[in-house]
Amino acid sequence: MRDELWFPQVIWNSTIDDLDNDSLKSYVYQKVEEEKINPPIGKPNQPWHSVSLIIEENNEVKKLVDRLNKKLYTICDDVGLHPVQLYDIWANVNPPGVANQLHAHIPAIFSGVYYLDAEEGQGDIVFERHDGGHTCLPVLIKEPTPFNQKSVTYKSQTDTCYVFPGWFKHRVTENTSNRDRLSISFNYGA
Amino acid sequence: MPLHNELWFPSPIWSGKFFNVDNDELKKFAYEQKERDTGVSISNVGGWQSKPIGKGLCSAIDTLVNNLDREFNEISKQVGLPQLQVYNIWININPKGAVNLTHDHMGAIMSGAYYVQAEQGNGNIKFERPDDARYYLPTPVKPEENTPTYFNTQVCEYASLTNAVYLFPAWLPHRVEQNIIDKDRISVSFNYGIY
Repeated sequence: MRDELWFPQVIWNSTIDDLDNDSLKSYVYQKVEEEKINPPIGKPNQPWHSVSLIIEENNEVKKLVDRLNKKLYTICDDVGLHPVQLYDIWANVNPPGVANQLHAHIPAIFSGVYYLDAEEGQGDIVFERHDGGHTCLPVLIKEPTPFNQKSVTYKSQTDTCYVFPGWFKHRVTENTSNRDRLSISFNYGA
Repeated sequence: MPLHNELWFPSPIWSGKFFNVDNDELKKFAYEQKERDTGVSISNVGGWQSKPIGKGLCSAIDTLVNNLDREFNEISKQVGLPQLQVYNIWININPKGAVNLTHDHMGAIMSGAYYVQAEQGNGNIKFERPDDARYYLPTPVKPEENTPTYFNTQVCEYASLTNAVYLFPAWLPHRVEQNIIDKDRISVSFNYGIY
């Protein structure tokens, strides 16, 4: 029999290893200082995220956006979409003990994350299926496959970049280390 | 590192043809059942749907189930599931004007349809994407280039053709288009799962 795999949730991963992460980290902490609200960093069990970054404000952010634009151009071509444009980009700081609850990025077509400072224990990203399969598939499976899983976990690693559909629900596990987890997230749309 | 992609939670549709099912016998059995059974009303509008057909009542259906058992055995291995068994199997007769509204087969793991008598105009089966992408994806998608892909399309369509068989995840919403010709569309649907 012939099989065709319709409507998959695609996760693109790559590394961006030519950015000055120290400079970006300084910039992010500068933002934290400027925005000591929203909520303030260090407040138990709440992640901090910045307001939208102004791309021209920092050269490394400009470089990151340039790299992302190229990736998104390739992705759109691959999946038969017109090129999309960046419409939001922001920084995240997850102090120890903090996690992000399940969410999607309405109304982005593509979303993603770049890790500035993230290693084992600082909180992985977990994508969850919402196509009905999570209610029908048996608990006991023979071996994990992309078809029969109810969630999939991607490691948060410095320099790694993940891009995924904006509707693909995801969460971040608790930062169990004693260091902040820093990342930059973004949304692309038509 | 170049972009690497991974495809998660796809909705596979398996397609093929069975040539060892006696369609004439099955057709005769279908109309006999229709005479004596008022049937059930689920997704069918204007069409007749039988109650579940038991084993041993129609040798053509028994042959069909043997074929399906073999195919689902392979599919289970492919997708990493335990062996699947038939839950229920039933006959559909859609005369001119009949349709099946969008539905899924919740409770089963895999479902499918085999076409006993079907041709162009009898009503194709259309599968709708089961996620939230319809609220996000732009329309139209490069209409001038007409490049629907597995990722960007909202619906995929499979032709109803005699001897064709389509197998799909039970949770995948689907519908049958209106039969616009004078000939009945006869199919057998089924659910598979784990006991």
